[in-house]
Amino acid sequence: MPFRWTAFVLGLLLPGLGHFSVGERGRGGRILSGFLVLWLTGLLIGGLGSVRSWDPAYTNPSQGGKRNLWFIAQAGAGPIAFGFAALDAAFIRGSAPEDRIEITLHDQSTGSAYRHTAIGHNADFGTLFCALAGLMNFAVALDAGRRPVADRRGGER
Amino acid sequence: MMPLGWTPFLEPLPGVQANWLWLLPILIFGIAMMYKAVRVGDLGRYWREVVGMTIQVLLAFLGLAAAVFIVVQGIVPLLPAG
Repeated sequence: MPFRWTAFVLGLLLPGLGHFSVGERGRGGRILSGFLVLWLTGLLIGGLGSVRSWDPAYTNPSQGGKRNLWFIAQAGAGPIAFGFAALDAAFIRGSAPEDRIEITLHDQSTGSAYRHTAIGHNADFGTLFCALAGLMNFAVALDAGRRPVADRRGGER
Repeated sequence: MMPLGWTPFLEPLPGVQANWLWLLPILIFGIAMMYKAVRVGDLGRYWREVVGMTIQVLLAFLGLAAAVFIVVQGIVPLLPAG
């Protein structure tokens, strides 16, 4: 059976949509629910900074900035990940000067951060939850591409 | 209206630093929800499978934690220093 690229891409656009498109509506709904559990819990734990494409936690943006490699995993959530990364860039990384505090980084250099930036386990788990949601969604989208179209005369699938 | 003192989804959740272990069941539950949505043949058994996988993974973590505890607290101190 040829790989269904349409289902794969739809699955990346919105979790569960790939399975929905091949007639597996029950699975699609459950996939979306599982994704939301991981994604929203991650955002609740670490705040908007959990999904960040640039300047990961514990780095000093004034030293040139770095790519956040965790975002590669989070990008498996498709436009949702890029949308939240844009929100992070606008509200957390791009926060007003009066909302920023001076911090000492692990290399003893001085930097500044949004006063509500997550650190410690908040930053770790928030990032991890969203990264796992993205990775799982990529795997699930691959599965959608390999599934035969469901017989819609049957029961719930 | 009394302010909450914490803005959900904008600010980090308070109290996580000391209670992070409670996040583990939620993490495993979310992964199990996505994994079992793809793997189960009969969706009628979905929630049973999700709960089963969550418990299995948690028990595996507990087993690993116990094994590491025994090694670090019981076996390593018996090794000759130097």
